[in-house]
Amino acid sequence: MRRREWLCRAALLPGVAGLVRAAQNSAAAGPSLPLKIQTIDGQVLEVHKQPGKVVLIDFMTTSCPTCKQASAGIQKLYEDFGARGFLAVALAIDTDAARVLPMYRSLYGLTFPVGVLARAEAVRYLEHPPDKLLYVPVLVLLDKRGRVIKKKVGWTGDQEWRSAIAEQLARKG
Amino acid sequence: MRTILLWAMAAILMPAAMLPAQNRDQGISQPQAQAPGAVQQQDQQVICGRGRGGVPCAWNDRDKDGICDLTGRPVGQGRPLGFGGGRRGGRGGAAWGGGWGAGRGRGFAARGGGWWRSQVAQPPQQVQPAASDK
Repeated sequence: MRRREWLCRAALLPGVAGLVRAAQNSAAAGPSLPLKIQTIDGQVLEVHKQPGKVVLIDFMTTSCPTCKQASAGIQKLYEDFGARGFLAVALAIDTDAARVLPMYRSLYGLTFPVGVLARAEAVRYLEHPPDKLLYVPVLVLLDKRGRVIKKKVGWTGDQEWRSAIAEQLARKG
Repeated sequence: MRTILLWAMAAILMPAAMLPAQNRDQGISQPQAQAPGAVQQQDQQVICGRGRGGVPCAWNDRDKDGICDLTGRPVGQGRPLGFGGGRRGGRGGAAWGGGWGAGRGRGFAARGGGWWRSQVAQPPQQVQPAASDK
């Protein structure tokens, strides 16, 4: 009897873990919170108000290697889909970002808007629980109506984003 | 009764755990065929390694989830610092007693060995009865 109960609990574990993971990388189709940024070129951009455009927001730091991989991958996505209504925005949230970001942009050849965002502002936008650590990169995909379609922590390659962006661009706004 | 309840919960939650993986697979495979922009994926891999003109690799991102903390260090590096070391001049043993065999080398014997057992345990050959015995 005791052994069977333990077996049941073991069978429950993957289910619970799956639910937690699904909640973290949720695909909530809710409206985006307002996000107004200033790029390092001085351009003011209301990221949540880009009607007719599919927007990928990348919250990152300039020091983490996976953020650099993400930036390079997003640049390729921007080159492929930019003409079809895709906009990418990278927002650096580390403290030294304002100084490093121009060099970072030229080093990785980024042509999409990049800007610096206060960490508190990023936490507010992402609705991140204040008692938990914030990890980077956090990627948020908005559809043509400004709704959050996909949210993910971590960069594991551009394929999943490529397919998601293509799917959103194919839809009528 | 309690066991039945637990099994029922497991039956409900297991498909929920499988669902994200299925969605991910579908998400990658289906729109690729539809979207014209998603054709040249083989050529579009980001080059890893700054010496090759690419971005730096996250060598110590052992779980390959592509997540860093805010100090810029990849998370998921296995054991925390202080647990390393292990054998002098060699690698530290992995967690849970894995890694190289402890003091038994790393050859056949360390993995269980016993080739001689298979030699000993060979079944005796059956002798065909001669025609004159019949």
